[in-house]
Amino acid sequence: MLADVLLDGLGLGAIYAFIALGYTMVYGIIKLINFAHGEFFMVGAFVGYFALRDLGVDEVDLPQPLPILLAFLVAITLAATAAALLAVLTERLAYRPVRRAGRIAALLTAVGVSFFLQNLAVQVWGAGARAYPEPGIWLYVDDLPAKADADYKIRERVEAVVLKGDAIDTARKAALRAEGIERVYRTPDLTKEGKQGFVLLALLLWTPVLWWLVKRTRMGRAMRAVSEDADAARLMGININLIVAATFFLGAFVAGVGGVAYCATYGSVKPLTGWIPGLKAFIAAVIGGIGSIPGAIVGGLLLGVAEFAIPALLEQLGWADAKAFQDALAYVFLIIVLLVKPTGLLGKPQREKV
Amino acid sequence: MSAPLFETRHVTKRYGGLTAVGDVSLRLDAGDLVGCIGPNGAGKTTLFNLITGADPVTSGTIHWQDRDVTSLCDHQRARLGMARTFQNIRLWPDMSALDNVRAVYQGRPGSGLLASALRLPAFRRTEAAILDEAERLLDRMGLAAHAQARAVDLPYGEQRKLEICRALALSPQLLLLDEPAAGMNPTEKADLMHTVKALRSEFDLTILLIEHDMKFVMGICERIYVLDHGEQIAHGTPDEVRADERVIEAYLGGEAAC
Ligand SMILES: Nc1ncnc2c1ncn2[C@@H]1O[C@H](COP(=O)(O)OP(=O)(O)OP(=O)(O)O)[C@@H](O)[C@H]1O
Ligand SMILES: [Mg+2]
Repeated sequence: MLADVLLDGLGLGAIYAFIALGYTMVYGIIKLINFAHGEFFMVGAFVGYFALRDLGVDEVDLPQPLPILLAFLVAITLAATAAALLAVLTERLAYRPVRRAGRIAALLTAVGVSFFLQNLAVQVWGAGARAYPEPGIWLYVDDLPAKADADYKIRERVEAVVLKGDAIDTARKAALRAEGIERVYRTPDLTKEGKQGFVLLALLLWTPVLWWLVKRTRMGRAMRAVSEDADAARLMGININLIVAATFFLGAFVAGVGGVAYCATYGSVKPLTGWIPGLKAFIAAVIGGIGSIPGAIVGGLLLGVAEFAIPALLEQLGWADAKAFQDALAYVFLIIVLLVKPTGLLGKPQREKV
Repeated sequence: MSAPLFETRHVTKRYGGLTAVGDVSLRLDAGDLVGCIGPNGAGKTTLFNLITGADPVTSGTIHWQDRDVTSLCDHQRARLGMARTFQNIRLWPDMSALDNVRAVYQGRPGSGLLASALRLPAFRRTEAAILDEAERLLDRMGLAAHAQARAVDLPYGEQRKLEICRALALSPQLLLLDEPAAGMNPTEKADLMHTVKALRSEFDLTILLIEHDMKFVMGICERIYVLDHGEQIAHGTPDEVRADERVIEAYLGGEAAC
C-alpha cells in the first residue's frame, strides 16, 4: 500500500519534474511564466504518438524488445526535438517582441500562445483522445483464447473491447466482428509500475546531464550569468537572444520527453493533454522554488507523492471521498508550502538590485 | 593623422527634461590612459552607459576605429572590444569568482554553441583553454585564492578587482573603469593605481576611467575630461585641468552647495 502510493507518486512526480524544469529554467532566465510550456509537452506527445505509430511499435511482437526500445528512443528524440523547435519558434515570434514590455504583457502573451496552440492542435489533430501506441501483439478475433488472458483493445480506442477474464465464445466473436472489429490488440505485459520505473530512471539519468550542462559548459555558465544579471551579461558580450533561445530549446526538449513518457504511461493523447500536467508542473516548480533547477526536481517528486499520499492518508482517517479531491489537494499543498516558505523550498529570496 | 581608437561625437542623453549628458565629444587613441571626472550627478556613469550601449543616445554618434557603432547593441559593442566595470558592483553574485570570469568566454567569437555538445574532444580542449586563461587572469589580479568563492562573499575591494578580471576576459582594446577605487583604503588604492598602469601595457589596453579620488586620477591619467551637469567643461593634462577656472568653480560650487 505504502509502496504503491510511493511508486505512483514518484512516477507521476518524475513527469512533473520533467515539465517543471522547463518552467523554472525559462523563469530563471527571463522571469517569464511560460504558460505555453504545457503545450510544448502536448505537441511532443503528439509527435511521439505519430512516430511510434508509424514505426509500428504496436505491430511488433513483444518478444522483440530491441526494435521496440529503438522505436521508443527514436520517437522520444523526434518528440523532444519537435517540442524544442516549437519553443524556439514561439519565443522568437511571440515572446521576444514583448520581452521589454513588462511582465504582465509577457504573461498574457504566454496565456494567449497556450490557447492558440491548444486550438491549433484541435484543428489539426481533432479534439478527441487517441490511444497511445503500445508495443503489443495483434490477434485476429478468431484466435482469441476462450478466456481472455489480458485486456484487448483496438488501436483507436483507449478502453479495452475485451477485458481480462472475459469469456469469449462464438457469439462474442460474432458480436465483435459485427462492430467491424477483425483484429484486436493485446495490451502488453508492461505494467504501469514498469513504465513508471522507466520514467524515474530517465529522470535519474537526465538530472546529472542537466547539472553538467548548467555547471560545466560555456552555455550553462552564460545561462546562469543571464539569470543573475542579464544587463551585466549583455555588457560582457553575452548574446541574450541566443541564451534565451537555448534555454527554451532545452526546457521544451525535456518537456517533449516528458510528454511521451506521460502519454505512454497513462495511455492517451489529446490537445488538452498538456493542460493539467502543465499546471501541476508549474505548481511543482513554485513549490520547489521557481528559478531553481534542483527545486523543480524536488518540487515535482514531492507534488507527485503528495497527490497520492494525502488522499490515501485522508481515506485512512475516514474521508471516503478524498480521492475525488486529488487535484484540489495539490493546490492546498502548494498554499501550505508557500505559507511556510514563500520563496518555495529551494528558492532564493529575491535579491534587490541597487 | 591616424584614426582614433574610439570617439564620441556630440553625444547627448536626456531623461525627460534632465540632460544627463549634453554634447560630449571625447577621443581616445590606442594606448591612452584617460580620466573622466566631475561632481556627483555630472553624467559620468551615463556617459559610460552610452559608450557601451547600455543606454541609447538621444543624439550624437559613437565611433570605433572610424566606424559608426551607434546602432550596435550592447553585446555587439562588447565583442568589438570594449569592456567595463560598474560603479555599483554588478558581478553575478551566486557564481564563483572563477565562473564569473569564465562566463564571459561564451560571448567571445569562435565559441560554437552546439560544438560544445557534439565535438567532445574539441569541447574539452576549449574548456581547458578557458580555465587556463581565467585562472591566469585571477592570478594576475591576486584573486587566485578566491577562485572558488562566491562573488558575493568576497570582500569589497576584491569584488572590484574581480570586475576588472571579468572585463579583461573579453580581451578588450578599450577598458572602461567606473570608480574602480571606490571604497578602497589608501593602501589598496595605491596598489590599484599601480595595477591599472601595468595592465595597460601588459594587455595593450586603452583605458578610460571615472574616479572621484583626485590623487588617483591625477596620478595616472595623461589626459582628463571634466563633466559638470552633463556638460564637458574642460579637457587637458592633469595640470591644465587643475588650473581650470570652470573646474575649480564646479567643484567648489558643488561643495558650497552641500
Ligand atoms: N536611468 C535614469 N533615469 C533618469 N535619470 C537618470 C538615469 N540615470 C542617471 N540619471 C540622472 O542623470 C544624472 C547623471 O547621473 P550619472 O549617474 O551619470 O552621474 P555620475 O556622474 O556618474 O555621478 P556619481 O559621481 O554620483 O556616480 C543624474 O542627475 C541622475 O539622476
Ligand atoms: Mg557614476
